[in-house]
Amino acid sequence: MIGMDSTPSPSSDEELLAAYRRASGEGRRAAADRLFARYYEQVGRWCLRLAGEREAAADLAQDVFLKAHRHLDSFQGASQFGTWLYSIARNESINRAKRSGPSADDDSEETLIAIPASDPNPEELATRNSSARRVDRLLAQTLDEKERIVFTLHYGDELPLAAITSLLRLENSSGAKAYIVSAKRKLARAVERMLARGERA
Amino acid sequence: MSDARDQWRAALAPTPQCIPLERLGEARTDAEREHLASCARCQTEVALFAEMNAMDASADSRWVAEELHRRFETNVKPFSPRRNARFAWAAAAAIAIAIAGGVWMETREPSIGGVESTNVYRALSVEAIAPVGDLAEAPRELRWKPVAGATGYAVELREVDRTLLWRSETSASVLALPADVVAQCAPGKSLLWDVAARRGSDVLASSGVQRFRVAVQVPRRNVP
Repeated sequence: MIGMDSTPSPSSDEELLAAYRRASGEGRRAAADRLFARYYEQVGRWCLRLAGEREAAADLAQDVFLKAHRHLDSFQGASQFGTWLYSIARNESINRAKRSGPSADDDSEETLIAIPASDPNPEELATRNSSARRVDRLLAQTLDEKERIVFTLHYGDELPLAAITSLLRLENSSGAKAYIVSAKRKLARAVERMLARGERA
Repeated sequence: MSDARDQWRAALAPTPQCIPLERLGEARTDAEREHLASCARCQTEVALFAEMNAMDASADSRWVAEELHRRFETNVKPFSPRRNARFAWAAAAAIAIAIAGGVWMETREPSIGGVESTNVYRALSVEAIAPVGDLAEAPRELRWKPVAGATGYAVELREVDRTLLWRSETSASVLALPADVVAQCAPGKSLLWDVAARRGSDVLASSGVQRFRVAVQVPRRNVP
């Protein structure tokens, strides 16, 4: 932090939050409004990526801020306010995109390979903790970074391909679909090789 | 669980070891760095967070910001947004009552909390002029359009992770950047700034976060 003015300013996130907590009634609401208004454009940009057009983006952003307002009292200041607000925007927008579009929309001939079982109890695969290390190792060894991210968003978050393409600004002709097709092929080959060698994922 | 999709969804869900979304803007601990190196879920979240911080302003994003100002300016209840039909009826009824009573309604500040009466002034948006977007060289000053009624402006310059680099105040609508701050504007590095218009200790309006980046200069080859 350099060149910081020693004069207290009421316009930082921290100070507006302090004003929100100190005040009551109208002053409290005004402090919250000022705090949120600082992020209208940034949240708007994010919502534009997922919603596609500005009216829908404004509707989505409005819901993000309403939700943030409802939960503002639970924000303890353990993290930066902007990051906290981002977490709400991220979850709200991805949930909205999941509801509005098909998640199984890659429409490719490649089959999504099942995760090879590592022990006699394949039911354990249902829990992330038991399979996380194996899956992460498989993805790290098999896919490049962009493929891993697209794969995680599509199969982990069930985000439709069009939303992933827009969110990550993928400019190739088939967008996220190309990464999913490539990832599925690579994973199928990797698992085949592993099984042929008698290895576990 | 036999379906491959269900298996992958479960396997790609966050674990207790994953970095909480709220901590994405914080400095990483050693344990988080080690975890991040191998976790596809956390790598994805870090990539999304970086993408959010790198998004450029556009005419559409400015429109969305202004639209949010407009929507919350109407003092709607939190659960009755503008597009809600109930609100439309309520607004129409309120206008009819105001007209019938000859009431002069002052402009109100946006209020997400939603109240029927307020004595604070309408929050305008401060229009940032420069620097915004990609620049040929490091900016020497920050400039914005003056706001009527403002007695001063508070300016903050931040890293994209929102670490505060510099803060200052002025009564003018331009503020020169100190040399050590200009030196922070390295080519290729995005920075964020915002300006809040103030009257006394009250904040009248804010510009929202502006982003700029000094372009990386590609050295020209000497042609023999």
